Formats: sequence, structure tokens, C-alpha cells
Amino acid sequence: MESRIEELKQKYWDGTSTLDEEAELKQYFSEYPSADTQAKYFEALGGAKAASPSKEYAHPAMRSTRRIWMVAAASVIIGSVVLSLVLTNKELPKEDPFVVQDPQEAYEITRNAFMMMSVGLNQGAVATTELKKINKAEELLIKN
Amino acid sequence: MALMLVIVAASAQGEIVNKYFNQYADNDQFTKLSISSKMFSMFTQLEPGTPEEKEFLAAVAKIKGMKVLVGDSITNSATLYKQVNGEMDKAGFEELMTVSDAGETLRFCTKESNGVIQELTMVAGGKKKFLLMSIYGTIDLKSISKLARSMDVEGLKNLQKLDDKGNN
Repeated sequence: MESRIEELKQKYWDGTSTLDEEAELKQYFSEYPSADTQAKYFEALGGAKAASPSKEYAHPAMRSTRRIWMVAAASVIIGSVVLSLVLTNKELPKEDPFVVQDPQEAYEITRNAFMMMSVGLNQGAVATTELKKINKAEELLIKN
Repeated sequence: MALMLVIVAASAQGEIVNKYFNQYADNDQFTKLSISSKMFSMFTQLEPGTPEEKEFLAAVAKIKGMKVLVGDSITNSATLYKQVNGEMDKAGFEELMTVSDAGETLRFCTKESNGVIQELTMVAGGKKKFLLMSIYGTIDLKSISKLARSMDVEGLKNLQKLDDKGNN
């Protein structure tokens, strides 16, 4: 019996034992707990085999596939940004050397510029009103 | 794709004026002025002191930037005026109005997106004078046109002010 157990232990450590042989080892050490210093290890053997792994195993080849997808997605995003800049024939944003830095000056310039636009828009509006009057007069003349 | 569209839309704003800013960057005959979006957001923090200021601040509330290119002693103003307007037509701008007065012609154009005016340009051409102004962001034409009515303004005297400012 002792030699049988020694043989099974050797096969176990060599990684060549079958499940039945491992069950035999477990059975032996549960009956004779103090028979060997390795008894506790073989007693727990069944439980360890039955327990499901806490972390899902990922094959290295699958990990690299996921990585390839991530790299591809990043490439598409970067490509889209570069393509949009190329399509619009734009350079990457540069600092504008003509930006007015003084807030007071910027306020005055903006106010004057908006006023100028406003005056222009109103001139157009007046011109449109005058044109409408002329058209109306023309319509009346044609009717008469 | 959405990111791409946002980038394209943003980069298209001020396209024409930017081109001429770059073209005449080193030309002293042209004054270049640019008001950044940061400055416009600073304006929105101001407390209006008068009703006129309140109207002005309301008009600039959603503006993201402004660029002005002015030349008052250039020889090819008529050619430049035609060239800029031609490029704006090609770039998808729509003419709002053209006003001719005392040897000067003003042309307003807008560029819309989803029914909202995203850019308003004013091109002025006269004898040896040229002006290209562009404002971009969300533009409310009514609030801009109200400004001149609410303030005591005579004609285009502010054009002179702007020129003087630029020449200093």
C-alpha cells in the first residue's frame, strides 16, 4: 500500500496522475491524516480542483486580438481628425498674432465694429423700404 | 463621425477672413484686428450701465469671435472687393444685402447652419478703401440692427474711428 501511495505521489508531482489516482490519494490521506507531511495538501486536493477559477482565463492570443481592436479604434479616431483637417484645407490652430489683448480696447473696437455693421444693415433696410414704396407707386400707375 | 462634423464646422468658421489675414499678415497697408472668443465671454460678464450698453451686450452675447481687415490706401480695392465676394459665393455664403452709397459699396453675407446664422460678413469697397469684417458664433441680426437705431449715430463715422484705432 505504501509503495502504491509513493508511486501515486510521484506521478502527481510529475503531472502524469489521472483523476482517479488523485481521488485515491485524497481518500488515503483523509483516512490517514498523519501518514505524511503532505497529507493536508492532498486532502485539499479535491476542493481545489472543484473550485471554479476566481478570474476568467484569457488566452494570450485573445488578449492580443482585443488589443488590435483597441489600436484600430484609436487609429480610426485619429485618422478622422487628421482627415477632417486635410479636407477643410486647414492648418492646425495657431495663435493669432492680431488678437487684441487689452479688454478695454477690445470692447471699444467691438462696439465700433458692431455699430458700423448696424448702420450698414439699417441703410439696407431703408433702401429696401424706399424700393418697396417705388414698387407700390409703379403698381398703382400700372393699374391706372 | 459626430466629432468629425464638429471639427469641420468649427474650422469652417471665419474661413475667408482667415485666408486674407494670412495673405496680408506682413502687409502694412492692411490693419488686422481679431477679437477672441475669450474676450467675448469676458464681455458677457460686464454689468451694463446704460440701456445702449445693455443692447450692445445682448447683441454680442453669443458671438465667438470677430476679425477685421482694413486697408484705406490701397490701389486694388475694387479687384479685391470682387475677389473676396466671389470666394464667399463659392464658399456657400448667401447675400443678405448690398448697399451702394457715395462711392462705397457694402455687401452683407451670411452663412447658416440648421436655420441659425453662424457667420456674418461685411465687405466694403471704395476708392482706395477696403474692409472685410467677419463675426461668427450665433448671430441675431435683429439685435445688431437695433444698435444703430438706439444710439445717436450719424452715418459711417465709426468706420473712421475704427480706421484711426487700427492706424495707431
